[in-house]
Amino acid sequence: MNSIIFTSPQYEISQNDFVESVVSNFDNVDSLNIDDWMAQIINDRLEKDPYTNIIIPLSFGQSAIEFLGLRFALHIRTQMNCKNQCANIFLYGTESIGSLINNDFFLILTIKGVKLIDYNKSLIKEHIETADRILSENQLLNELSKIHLCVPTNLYDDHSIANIWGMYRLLELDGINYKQINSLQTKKNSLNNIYFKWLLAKHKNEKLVTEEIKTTRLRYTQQIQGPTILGKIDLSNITNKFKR
Amino acid sequence: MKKVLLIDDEANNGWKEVIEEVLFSGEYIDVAEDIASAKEQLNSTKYDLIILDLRFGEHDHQRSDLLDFGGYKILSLEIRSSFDKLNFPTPVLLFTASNKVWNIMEMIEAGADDYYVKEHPNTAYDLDFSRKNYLRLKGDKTHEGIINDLLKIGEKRTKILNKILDIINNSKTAISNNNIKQRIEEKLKIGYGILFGQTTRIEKEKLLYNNEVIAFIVFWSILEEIAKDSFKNNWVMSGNKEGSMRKDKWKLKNNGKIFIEDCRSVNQGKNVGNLIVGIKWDGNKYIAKQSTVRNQDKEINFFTGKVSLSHQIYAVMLLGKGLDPNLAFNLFDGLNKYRNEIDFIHSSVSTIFTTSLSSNQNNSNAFNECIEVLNFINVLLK
Repeated sequence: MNSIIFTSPQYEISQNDFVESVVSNFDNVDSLNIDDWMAQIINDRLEKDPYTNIIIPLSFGQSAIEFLGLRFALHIRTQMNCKNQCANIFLYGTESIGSLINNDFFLILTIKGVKLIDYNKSLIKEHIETADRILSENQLLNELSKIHLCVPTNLYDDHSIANIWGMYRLLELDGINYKQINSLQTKKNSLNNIYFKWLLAKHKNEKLVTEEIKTTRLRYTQQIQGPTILGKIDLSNITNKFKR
Repeated sequence: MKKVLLIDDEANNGWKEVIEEVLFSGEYIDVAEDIASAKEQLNSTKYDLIILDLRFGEHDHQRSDLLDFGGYKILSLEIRSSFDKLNFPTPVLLFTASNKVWNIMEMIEAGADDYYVKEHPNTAYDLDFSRKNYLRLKGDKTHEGIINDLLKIGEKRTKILNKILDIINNSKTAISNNNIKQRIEEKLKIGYGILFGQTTRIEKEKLLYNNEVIAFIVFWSILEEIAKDSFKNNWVMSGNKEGSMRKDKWKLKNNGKIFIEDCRSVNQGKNVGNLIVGIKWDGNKYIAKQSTVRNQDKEINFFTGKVSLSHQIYAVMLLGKGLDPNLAFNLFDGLNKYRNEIDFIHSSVSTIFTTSLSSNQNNSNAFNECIEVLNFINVLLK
């Protein structure tokens, strides 16, 4: 099976309709922590097997007008080291493209290999027969640069963005995996946040760390540790200390 | 391990751990996430380094004036509010997400020592910015980096300030004249300010400005203050009404008020005990001379001849403070030689014809000399 079809209660799609594909239900959508929820779905259902085609409902969860399918598509494209990062993504729904234009994630539809299709089982069947991935890994970074995301509204302003991005960047320069930092795993700073996930994916292949940086890391570690102090001798009462 | 305080409302949202890992090999650092806890920690613990954010929480983010920002308040109203604050000498690294240069400059005016800009995604395209930002923090081939520099400067400041505070404390009882007491404190502050003021490369290289050397001169001048105080209040006087030694036997400059120009042998009569009464030339250098004890009046033998200004100060101080002349002279003589070498007031014969003023200063270990002169002042005041 080279296709996975996600569905939700709004759509009448079952495994019986697509016996040669995996049909997976979106249930218990956590709208409050939507990025974490989506990241978890990808971890659970898209990390193990590579698919050629991923079919996603345009809307799921409690709000039909949020078009969470667009957000989910971007999560897939920005999930680093995921086997399905470059899979073909078909978003099915009943809305026209014009009604999506103001969505924050509308530009995902401009990325190679992402397409909006009508909610029509025959049409979905046509698309799951697509044999090859349209997007290659080499093209991915360039495609991601087409996206522009606004600063998340749950952060105050640019300073808060820098407070999070600054940590990731400093860790990267120092050769430390952010997963070693416990407090970066909190929801607020989580890399699951689609904004930061997109930023990191976009800058993934940069040659940020040079030999000079590596040399500095080593030298600094030796300097900052310094000698071990075993004890101190108090010379304050020795008169001769004043003698020159 | 160094004591470090991170004052940042985002400290426990990641920065504490990140800084511990990146800058301090995973060692624990203290944090304060608001002004109240920052105050509490700053008043109870002496830190080696303070890493200070500029804006605190939503309140600050709704304001645009630097004076309203928590970081500014902590810096100006707490850390640098007065000379005797526990963390007054502690280096402050501004750790900010603000890229507004005027805010950074204003914070440096208020006492921050350096800054690090938390990176914004807008700079992510400029890899060179990221690298330089990092290398500036941790050092490169030619620079030690902000953290090491600040830790070192903090050690120096603390060392000097502790001595200065000792002097201020000792002068409360050792100096009787309130004006002189105040002048000593002021000179200590001026010297500290000059010593740790930030100087540009242009000032150092093109204008030959050497803050450590100038600070030494300022600290040195405190000896003169002590001499004045000693002269007025503790001078060994003769029995004759007008005939203090300084008037009759010591020729004074400045209408007879302050400095001795020469001194000569005198005999004042009665003994009062062993006193340090003068200085004499032993063939190589001036040495302190004790009085000959006879009776309640003083019989005092003075060397006859010209005495340099510095030794006049020295003599007055010795008489006033009753120091062990050998110890005091060793201290004083070394400092005085150094003062001559750096050429700021006048040159010694050995330097003026042989080396340039700047090379003398550059070759000097002025910071240690500052320490020594402060040590000497403390010896005098104790």
